[in-house]
Amino acid sequence: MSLSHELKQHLGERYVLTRDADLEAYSYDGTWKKSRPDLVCLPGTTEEVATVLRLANHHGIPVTPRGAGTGLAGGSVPVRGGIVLALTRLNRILRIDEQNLLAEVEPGVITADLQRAVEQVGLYYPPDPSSRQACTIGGNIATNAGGPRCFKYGVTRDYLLGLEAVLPNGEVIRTGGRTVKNVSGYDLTRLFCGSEGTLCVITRAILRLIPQPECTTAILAVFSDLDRAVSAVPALVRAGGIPAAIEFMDQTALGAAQQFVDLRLPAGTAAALLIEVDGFREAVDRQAREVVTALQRLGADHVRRATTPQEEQDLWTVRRSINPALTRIKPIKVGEDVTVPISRMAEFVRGFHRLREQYGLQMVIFGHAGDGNLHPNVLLDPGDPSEVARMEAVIAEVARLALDLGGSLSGEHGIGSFKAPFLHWELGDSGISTIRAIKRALDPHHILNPGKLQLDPAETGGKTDG
Amino acid sequence: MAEPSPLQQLLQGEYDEALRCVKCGFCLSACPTYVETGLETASPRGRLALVQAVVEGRLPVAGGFAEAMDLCLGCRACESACPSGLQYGRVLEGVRAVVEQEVGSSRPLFERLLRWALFHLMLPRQGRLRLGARLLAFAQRTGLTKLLKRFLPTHMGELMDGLPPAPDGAVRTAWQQMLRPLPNGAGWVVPAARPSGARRVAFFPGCLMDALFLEINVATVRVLTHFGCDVLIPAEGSCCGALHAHGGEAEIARNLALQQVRSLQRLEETSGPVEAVITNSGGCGAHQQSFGHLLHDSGAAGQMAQRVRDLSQWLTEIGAAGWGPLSGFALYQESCHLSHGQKARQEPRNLLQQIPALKVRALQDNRCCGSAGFYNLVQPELSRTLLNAKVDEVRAHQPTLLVTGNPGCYLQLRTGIAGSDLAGQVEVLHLAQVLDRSISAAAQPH
Repeated sequence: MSLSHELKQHLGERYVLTRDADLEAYSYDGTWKKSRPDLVCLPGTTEEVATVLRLANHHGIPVTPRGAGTGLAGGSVPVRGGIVLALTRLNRILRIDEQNLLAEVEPGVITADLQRAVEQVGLYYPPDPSSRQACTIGGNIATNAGGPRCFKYGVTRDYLLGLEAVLPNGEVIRTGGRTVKNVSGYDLTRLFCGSEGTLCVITRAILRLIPQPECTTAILAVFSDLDRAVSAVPALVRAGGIPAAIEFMDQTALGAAQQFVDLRLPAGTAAALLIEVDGFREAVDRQAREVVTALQRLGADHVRRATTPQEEQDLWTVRRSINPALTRIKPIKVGEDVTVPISRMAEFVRGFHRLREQYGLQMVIFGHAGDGNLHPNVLLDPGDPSEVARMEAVIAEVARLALDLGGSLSGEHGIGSFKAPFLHWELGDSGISTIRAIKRALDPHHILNPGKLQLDPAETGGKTDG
Repeated sequence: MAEPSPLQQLLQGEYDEALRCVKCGFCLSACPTYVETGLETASPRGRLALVQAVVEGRLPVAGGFAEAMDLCLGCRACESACPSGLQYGRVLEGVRAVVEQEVGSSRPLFERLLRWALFHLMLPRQGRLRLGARLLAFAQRTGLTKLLKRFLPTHMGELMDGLPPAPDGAVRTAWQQMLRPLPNGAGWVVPAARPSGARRVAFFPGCLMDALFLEINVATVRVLTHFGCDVLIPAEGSCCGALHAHGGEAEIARNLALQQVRSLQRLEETSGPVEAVITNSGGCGAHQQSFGHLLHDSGAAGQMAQRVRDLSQWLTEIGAAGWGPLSGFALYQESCHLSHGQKARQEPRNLLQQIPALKVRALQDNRCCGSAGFYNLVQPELSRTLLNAKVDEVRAHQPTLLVTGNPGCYLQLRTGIAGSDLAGQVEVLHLAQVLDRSISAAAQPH
């Protein structure tokens, strides 16, 4: 019996896809990388996930787990073919425990849906990747996703209490539990969080919730000098109280995203900072005043606080739309996700601009300035081969620049296949051999999401097809 | 460099547009077919990727690709959700024409007959549509429709039950009496209620509206004249071709569009310019707004396109006020193309809210109702699923009126209500009819 036939017996005809059109539709993620799988499976239960992995492991077939396919590092692209394991059918919020402040969810739950559901009962799930209306919790856990609010609240890892997952051999494992404090055995929950689908397939997650802040407000500070904007961030962070988010947008980013909502910015705007403050009403008012004063002192040309919920929403719509809106400038964009200590951010941006001049490419920068996690992006025309070559070179230089300033290659998107070639720079020989040892221990047949994170000792440089 | 393939030539514009998709996935939760099936091929992002693959020669048109494009409602909700501003509707239209060319002849016989009857035989010809309506009226009066139902597939029988009484002699006479002929046979005019300072607008009565839902046109024109507009009706151009364009009949669509553009031109040449072209069908208005692009003409076609206004947009623009009270509870269902195409989201709601005493709400679930042109005829399962969701929400709200802005939605919702436990409890109306009742109420002495 062929593998697809056997899978259809277990999952049902409808949920094992073999036609070319289907394979094409599951060949991409949120980058411009593409690779067709041989088969797509959409399991509906943990048992079905286990069955798929067991069979794949037995036959040595690669399996690439996939949530909503909105990742920005090529992590869910099946670069070695095989099976795409789409977790979208596992999309139930199983329970929201108001007493113990936790939620139990299946991996295919859309992040914004979870946030809306818990907010209905006065609770809050802070990690807010900008793609939250499309991305899934499973994907968030696999990449340890961040977002603007992580500056104050922490990342996905900080809200992950426990997991149910399926190992590459088909065994189901439960890690962590329902309590914030849990130190029984190795911290497998944290190991799996950020493992980008290379060690296990997540089938259930227990997430920590916090009480919803009483109110939020947004403050926009406009600068006519980009350097001044970036340099203002460390001082702003120390200004007292922790804003929920401090976001940075350069002129190009603002221009692209404002097609959605016009913020009527003054002429000569070089950059903007968007700050969110949340908490009890009185505290928010006081903190907002402190932030506005600090921004004026730090050289903002114009500061305004949102006075209506619609205004607040509009400001965030602009911020969250930047990434997709950039294609209005040029069709292809290659994004980075570097993190540097905030005191070195201004240096990073200056270095970035030097590279822009040097390489003559259209480059834009925006991101979570509060924690030094910036998204430099290169925009290019796919039809121009010299641009592509220059892009590859400049991406490597940007990575190098971040590392030299004491930073990291990836703050929240993950390494996937895009940044795998640079991983060695950050981890060193012993780092790489350690992660490979762990991978070998859990996935001896190397079936789970191969071709990512430089985990395959036979890998040389991760050439992309595309 | 290799010679571009025929497909590449045909779909160059659509391909370039599809390439702009960054696969961010923001469209997924807005797409009714994705939400229902959970399959990437049933999502805008997936369909655009397939278009790319087809043009690049990596996927044939027939098979999975054609099916994926057929399952698309064409509601364009994805366009409103897309941060890249991708014009999905335009890509779909171009692709549908190619799909029709390649696989049209291998469709099931029933569907081919339906398409032929609808697109070639009936829609472009006002005379035939009116005759069809008269026959339908006869069948309804004599109970023949019940007999006919036995020979039709279930879903078509249900739609037949959903039809309102076809315009009878009285309605048609009332309509004819409103019309004054213009010189040179360029059309007709319905003069404003107050002749001085009248604003001049054009109005195409449409194909299905005129044949089957004439009372909605009567209401529309009454409201316009009440608010001081001379309504000029061009002699020709009975069908804008929206359904044809959405169904892949590109050549007929272009001819019909050209006919409307020329008819309006002729009317303006003989009777003077108009300020706006008023529509009461979301699908048609949105399509007419694309005439400049469709006919590659920024002159007459482009100028007509720029002046298209939905009734609700026009009434808002001219500051229509003085609405009479209506008791009841109106639930509003958006027409997809009115919202995503013509961008008239607030205007219908605002107008309803201005009517004194009327309680107004919009349906929480503002997805497509499943009408989507003739989708309810050829994709009955998914159409029904979407319609059932609407009926469920209507039941939860218990309104007295269900209000919409497009004939397709109007028929679909009528069908849903007629076949449910809400039959007789909820009246389905077009916005124009509600506004017409309101101005009648304003005229009543207190």
